[in-house]
Amino acid sequence: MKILIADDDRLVRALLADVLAGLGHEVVAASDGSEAVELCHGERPDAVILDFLMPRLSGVDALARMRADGRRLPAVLLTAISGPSLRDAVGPDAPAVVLEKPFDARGVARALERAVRAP
Amino acid sequence: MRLRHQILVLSLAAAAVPAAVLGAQLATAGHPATALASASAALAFAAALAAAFARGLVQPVADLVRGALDIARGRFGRQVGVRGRSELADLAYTFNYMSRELERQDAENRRLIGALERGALDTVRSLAGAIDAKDTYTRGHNERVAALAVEVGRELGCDERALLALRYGGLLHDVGKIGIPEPVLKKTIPLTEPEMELMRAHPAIGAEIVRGVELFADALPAIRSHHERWDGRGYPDGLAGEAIPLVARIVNAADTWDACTSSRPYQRALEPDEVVGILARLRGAQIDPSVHDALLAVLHRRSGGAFGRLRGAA
Repeated sequence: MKILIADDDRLVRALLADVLAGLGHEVVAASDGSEAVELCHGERPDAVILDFLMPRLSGVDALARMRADGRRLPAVLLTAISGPSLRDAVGPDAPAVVLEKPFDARGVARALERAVRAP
Repeated sequence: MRLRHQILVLSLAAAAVPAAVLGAQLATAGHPATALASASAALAFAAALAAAFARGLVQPVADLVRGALDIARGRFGRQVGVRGRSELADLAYTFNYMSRELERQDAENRRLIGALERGALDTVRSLAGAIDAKDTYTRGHNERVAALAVEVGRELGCDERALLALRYGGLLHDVGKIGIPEPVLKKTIPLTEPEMELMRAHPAIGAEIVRGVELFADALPAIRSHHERWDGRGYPDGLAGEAIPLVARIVNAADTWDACTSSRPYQRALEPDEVVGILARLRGAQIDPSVHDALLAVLHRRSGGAFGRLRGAA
């Protein structure tokens, strides 16, 4: 799969890219929400992993724009704040799997799997 | 009730019930001293725990309150400490994100406002340039009047809004000359009465040209009234004294200075000393005395003190 990752933290990007490459995926990376939306339009990834709190455009807003054309785009939202707080902020109309930081390789693989399988 | 009081009351209440039950049993079993000691120990332990917990709760909230107040004062980018992984830490983390985003958006807005202002000024300049091209004034008259008017305005303590009006008003004060036939504008011999009438129409024409342009609303009085005289014998409305808008009185004085110190088809440029004499005679007749004095102060500063003697005489 081609996977778009977006996080303003360089270390998180490097770590995610490593994990995903190990799982056999192709990775494109963005460092903020706006860049992620642009990349998504150009690269047409199969799934996205977005940080929730990014400069310029939050992960939720970026995801909404990526899905504006109506396509089903599997998504994982990374968050340093706790899952329940985030789910309240996301609301029911932006379905995404929430992955809390810090995460490990297995957590990433499982979250991605759930996102792809989600209806 | 403050959070710390609520926590204390709750903890003491929770500790009091088992302490009372245990104490009552120990007392009936004939150990009143042990009963008192164990009940006191339970309550003291509960109070100590409550105090420690309350401190951990109240401190981050107080930090957030201070941070929010800083942001309300426009200090975007203010960060607060994030401790642990509780919901309070989530709040602090999100607060920091909000603060950074506000800082970024604020910088972006300032950049846009700056670009808009520069664009507006460029537009005004090109409009002023159009008058320059048509009129026989030396080039740059409008720019010089604008710069001098702003300096005089600052000397008189005008606010930023008035200074911007002086800038635009100075640049555009003669914009109405676009509506005057070129032969009249360029004539070197004295104008006939009908021609004078035509020339005197330029402030009103200028005001009509910029009317409805929001950006020039504050500059409009400077354009319409820059040929009014302090004694009421000016045009187009014959206003006198403080009935003439201050911006117009300032542009009038700056215009007079620049007209006298630059060459015209009908006159050579006068020496600054001569012009200071002329200004002194116009003080209180054409020129507002306080504006005259502010203008002299500005010219004095600009010349590095050469006008000191003359200013004293005026």
